[in-house]
Amino acid sequence: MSYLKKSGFLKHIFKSAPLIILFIAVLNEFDANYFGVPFLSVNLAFILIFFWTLKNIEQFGYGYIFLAGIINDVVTGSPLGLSSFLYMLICVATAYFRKITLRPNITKDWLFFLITISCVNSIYYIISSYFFDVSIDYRFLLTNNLATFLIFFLFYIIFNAYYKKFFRKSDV
Amino acid sequence: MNVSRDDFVIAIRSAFLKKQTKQKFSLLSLISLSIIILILSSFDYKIIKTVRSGINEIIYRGSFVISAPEKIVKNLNTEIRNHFGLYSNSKKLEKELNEYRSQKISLDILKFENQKFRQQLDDYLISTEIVFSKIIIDNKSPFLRSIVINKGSRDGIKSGMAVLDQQYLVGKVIEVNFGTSRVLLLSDINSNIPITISPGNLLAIATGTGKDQAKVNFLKKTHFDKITNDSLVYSSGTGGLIKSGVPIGRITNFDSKIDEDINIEFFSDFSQLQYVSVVAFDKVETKVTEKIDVETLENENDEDIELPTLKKKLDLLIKEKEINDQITNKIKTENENLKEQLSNNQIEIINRQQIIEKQNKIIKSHNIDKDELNFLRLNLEYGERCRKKTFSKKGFKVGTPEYKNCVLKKGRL
Repeated sequence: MSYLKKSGFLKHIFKSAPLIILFIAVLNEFDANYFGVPFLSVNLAFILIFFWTLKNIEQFGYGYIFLAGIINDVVTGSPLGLSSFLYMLICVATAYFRKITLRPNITKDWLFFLITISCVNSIYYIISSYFFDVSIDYRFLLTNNLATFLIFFLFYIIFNAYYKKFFRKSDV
Repeated sequence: MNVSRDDFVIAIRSAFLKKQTKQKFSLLSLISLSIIILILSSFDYKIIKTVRSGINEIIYRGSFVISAPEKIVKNLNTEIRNHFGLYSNSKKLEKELNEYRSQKISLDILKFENQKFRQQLDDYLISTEIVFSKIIIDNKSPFLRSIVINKGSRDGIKSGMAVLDQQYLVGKVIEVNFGTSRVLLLSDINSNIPITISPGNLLAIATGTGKDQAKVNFLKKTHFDKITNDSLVYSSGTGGLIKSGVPIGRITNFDSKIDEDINIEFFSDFSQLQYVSVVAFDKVETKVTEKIDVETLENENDEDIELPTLKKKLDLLIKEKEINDQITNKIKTENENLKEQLSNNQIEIINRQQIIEKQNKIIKSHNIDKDELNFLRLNLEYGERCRKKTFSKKGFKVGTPEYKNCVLKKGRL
């Protein structure tokens, strides 16, 4: 890894990787249904935003997240600004959680993630159904919520390892 | 208790208002901005529409580029599967083709009859604009089923136009940008299409389920016994946006005694869509001659011709047409054979004529020889009488035509 230290460009790429993945995820509208698994759709954007805003890294700015939300709305065809609003709510939740947590651990983060995405998905359902007259099957939303919650554990381990490797924080 | 409440307020205030050292924007400003965008996007102002359309254009193109590797992998997978099933597919298609060929004649007649009946009802819609387009984004969102196509307002696409995959209805245009459009698929939960279920001619609404199927809504349970598995579903034409008779799918896994929901399986596989045609339907203008035709049909209707009778008539007509076709084919082949024979005969006649001419020439020369011989024979016998003598004025000089004539007349001068 010593060459990484030397190469400023590669270092920058690796540090920006979470943001790049977020933009690819929203532009590609990635979900696990690509593999044809019924009822298993994962909201990768939620996982990415929650984890990396919780870690408060420099490269993962709120402005970028806001832009990713706009892109997501256009790609999925949902009302413009809705995803940005939801992503910002996740950011609020993580900012709050960061403030009140002294010693972070995976179980706390995982449970708080469930609460956060449940609230955000509920708001999404309410806004879509009642303000924009877009019907959404709440069963899909529930299964998506559950699948995203379950898979967060796996992503947490991967992202945490990545974070330790490239961001060099001692408090992880 | 007060301390913990204060902590909560401080944490919330800090999260919302305080611009972090690493952040350029505060969360509160971005939340406000997203709410403003949300409110503005719900309005139908032209400026907002144009801005939105511009954003859509850029992002759709970006998404198309980003999705390219995924699409390549997807297509590769499909191609490999198709390759392995090539032989069996070919056999299957051959069999199907034979079946379709036999059905085509009867279909043509039915189409014609159908056209006539529709004109009679003044409900005949024709497709006036067909725009073929490529799908640039077909990512399935867990909640919304839609695709983005590479044709927009500059190509004449309008909101509400029907989208077909070959002949099958797959959705309708819901959002039009300058060079791209969004199509809401029939499988989307927000899609509602008026349909007819046949046999039985039952009118209902097909609503998407968010999966790869749709379900039948607004149909009374009393009609459930008329529906069977493999009942066909096509557009009813109610509303005038989509013409009636566009095939959509068939009913599957339905038992009228047990099931409450009626599921429709689409003819088209939405996950395999690559190209679609966007179609606008307009009413056909009825011409005077057609009106007369309609009037005669109305008169026929006055005589209370019932449907079974018409069906029988139609069957008879189909059979008659089949027989006629067979006869026509026979006549055609006979005609071709005769043509061939005729050309052969003509060649033979020419050859024979040439032979006859040759033979005639021979005969002619033969006849000349015969005359000569006869002359020589008569000359021997009567030449003396015709020859001019020294002391007589009678007779002719040898070799003159008069001499020859005299010899041939057996010496009579």
